[in-house]
Amino acid sequence: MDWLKEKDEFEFEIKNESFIEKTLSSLLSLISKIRRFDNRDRGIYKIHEAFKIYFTLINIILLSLSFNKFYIMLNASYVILLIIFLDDKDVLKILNMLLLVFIFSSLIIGPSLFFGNKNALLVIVKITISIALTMVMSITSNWHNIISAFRLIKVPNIVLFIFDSAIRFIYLLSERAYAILCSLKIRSVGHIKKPYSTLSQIMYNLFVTSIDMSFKVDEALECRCFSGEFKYSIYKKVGKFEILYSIINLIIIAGFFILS
Amino acid sequence: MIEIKNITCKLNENVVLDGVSFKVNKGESIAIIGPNGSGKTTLLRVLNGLIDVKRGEYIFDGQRIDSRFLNDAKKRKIFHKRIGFVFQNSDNQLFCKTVFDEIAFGLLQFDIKYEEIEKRVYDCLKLLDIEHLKNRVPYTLSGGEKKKVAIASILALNPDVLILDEPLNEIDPKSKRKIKELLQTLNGFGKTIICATHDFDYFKGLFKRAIVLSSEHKIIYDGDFDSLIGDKEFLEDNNII
Repeated sequence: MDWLKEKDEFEFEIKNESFIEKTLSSLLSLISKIRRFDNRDRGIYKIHEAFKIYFTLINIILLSLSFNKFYIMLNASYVILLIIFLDDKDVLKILNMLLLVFIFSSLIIGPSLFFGNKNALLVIVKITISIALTMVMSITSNWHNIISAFRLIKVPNIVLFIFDSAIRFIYLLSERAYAILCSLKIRSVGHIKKPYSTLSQIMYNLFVTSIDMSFKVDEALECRCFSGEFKYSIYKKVGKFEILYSIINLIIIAGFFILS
Repeated sequence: MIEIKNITCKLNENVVLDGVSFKVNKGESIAIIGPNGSGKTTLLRVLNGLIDVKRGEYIFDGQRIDSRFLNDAKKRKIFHKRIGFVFQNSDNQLFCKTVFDEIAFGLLQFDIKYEEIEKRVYDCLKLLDIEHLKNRVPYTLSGGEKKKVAIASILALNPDVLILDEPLNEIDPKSKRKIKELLQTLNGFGKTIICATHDFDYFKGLFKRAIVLSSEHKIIYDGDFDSLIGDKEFLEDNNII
């Protein structure tokens, strides 16, 4: 035990262990993506996902069918109105993506304008608006509520429960993987010779944990009188935001029929 | 109310409970104590009918709990309604998308009116002081908050027997006192409390009886809780403190 009393003087080569940093940051981004909905309970974020999904879907279909400039302008104004009410970070995220979409679709469809395709510009605008509508819906929606919105089209509850559980497991296992990677990071003095074999061991650990967790969830369901039929609870009550959102969307839908 | 007769359990060929026998009367409050790996959690799982006991007998309210009983879905449902279990790791127990849904889940398995479900859920939220969490996603909560939600979700079913596995883990001192008071109140209402714990100090005044499991997975003490806590030598010899 004498070595404990003395100071170590090891020689080692220090290399940049970027794989740990990269994995940690990607795990953190995944965890924060799932967590981000937890405290956002205002404005457009508060509107129930069922309304957002189905109205967005209808708007995109009608937009693809229409070649009326006024109707397309109406949709563009609506998207801008929605974006105004988002958080700064979300606005930036959407604008970045829209810029990319606009440039990309212009490069692909734009040249056809010189060969007589008069609708090329219209198509580019329609693509950009559709992507904007989808992004607003996705950014402002809670994943669990998106899943439960599928109840309206008669998807069995047990299937929805499996999807919900998948998100839950991704979150919990990511947290665990993050903790293990942090521990690996602080113990990695010097250079890890086989970094990817370390990752495979972590994956094995997570795999065993996930099996154990699934058995425990089965027991938890059993303990709370689960008898095979998964019953989702209460629908969220329709509030003033949902009513306002529906009115605006119904006006836009009516606009399609009137202007066309 | 509960009778365990000479139960022996094996997991992967390792004995985890060895000839365990005891009786629990209605309204008792019992602490299950023992060092790590002594079989406390296994014993609690046996009491909840989660392990099919091959050797020994488990009788709950005059009814033998065996594989035949547990294979009957209706009987099993009623049994689980009467005996609530709070897991050691709350992550394994919480599977719904909001805290409200989590507490309502058990009640939704029965034909109860929505108004009654809502009333019970709000009462449980209030009782555990977690009303502000009702719309949160359970798995993103802190350890202590998760534990409170797990207790509330079991309490909503109004079980006759409440079984808790290390309920004070990851909980702050104020919440520990609150949970102890809650368990005392529930015990006062006639509920039977069985709890595996290491936190003796926080539970002073709650338990009347203690059952101690040894590292050899046998019961080595079954008696007064206060006398046990006073016997430092016994506790140290058996790796409890």
